[in-house]
Amino acid sequence: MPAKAKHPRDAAQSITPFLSISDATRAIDFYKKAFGAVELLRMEEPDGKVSHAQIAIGNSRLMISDPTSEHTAEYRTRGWARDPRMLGGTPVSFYLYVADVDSVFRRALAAGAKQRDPVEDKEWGDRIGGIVDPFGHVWFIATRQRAVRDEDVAAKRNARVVVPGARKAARRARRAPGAGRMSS
Amino acid sequence: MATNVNPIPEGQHQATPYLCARDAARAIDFYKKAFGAIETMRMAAPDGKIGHADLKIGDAVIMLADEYPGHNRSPQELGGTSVMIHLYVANVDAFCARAVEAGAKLIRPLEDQFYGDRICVLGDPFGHVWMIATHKEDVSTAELQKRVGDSYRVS
Repeated sequence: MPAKAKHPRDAAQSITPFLSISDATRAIDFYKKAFGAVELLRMEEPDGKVSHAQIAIGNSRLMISDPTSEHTAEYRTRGWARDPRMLGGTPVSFYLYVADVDSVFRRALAAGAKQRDPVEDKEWGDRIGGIVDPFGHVWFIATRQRAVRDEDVAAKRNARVVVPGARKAARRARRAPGAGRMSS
Repeated sequence: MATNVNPIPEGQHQATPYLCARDAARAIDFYKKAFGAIETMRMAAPDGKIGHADLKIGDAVIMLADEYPGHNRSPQELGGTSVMIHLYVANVDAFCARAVEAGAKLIRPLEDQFYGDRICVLGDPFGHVWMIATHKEDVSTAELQKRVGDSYRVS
């Protein structure tokens, strides 16, 4: 059941990754340059720290917050997210679909990202490359090239697909009236 | 095999969070129970280890894989996370109650926020952190600035 009020900045996305980056201002510039991000909102503390920002990359929204800001100080000790450089890595990466992986990959490296995995065609039908951005977040940039059945991918990797057909069921569910929202 | 495909597959947002979980099979069970997630695909090795899985929560996809040394690292190994997952739901109170019942830890209790959302923050048993929200009120940028006064500059 849709909530009554409609979010002005976030029309229809239920999941939004919330990235922790200690120099968020520079990060926003990087995401603009590398991924063509558009800045939607920025809340800055008097010392310039970004306590909250929202950007759009294509049809996706991302939130960014400086973990050293006043805003997060109270919660830091209770398990708030930390900058990947403080953490020594990240347990959440991003799979980012773009129209032309090769050009976005080049642009990201030119803007200061480091190559993690070179761009190559994968057996699941995507051409992908992996980067680590200057702030330690990991992105797999991908372009879908061909349709491949999950079962065929699994066969090549000595794996099995556990829920074949469920994608179709999810598509059907999405088309159903009132779908696409949590009903909890 | 189709050769003419959309380079950005339909039905999902362009940027999808990809979570690394130690014991991903158990994590999937937890996300089903706690968040009402639907598992749409799982690529499992003969020993049950998950190379890749797709979950749907509401209208969005979350990707998930087991921990593979040298390739990815779990929150347990790192001692935390660097990306929270913000999730809009229709009823945050009911959603959080169910999640806590299933074993999530309440990091920040339910509270109405000045920007128009009612939220709570949950830590799951696998170390990932979720900010759960229900939108209650539209707040314009100008009104946001009014509400926060001098403590923030809103643009």
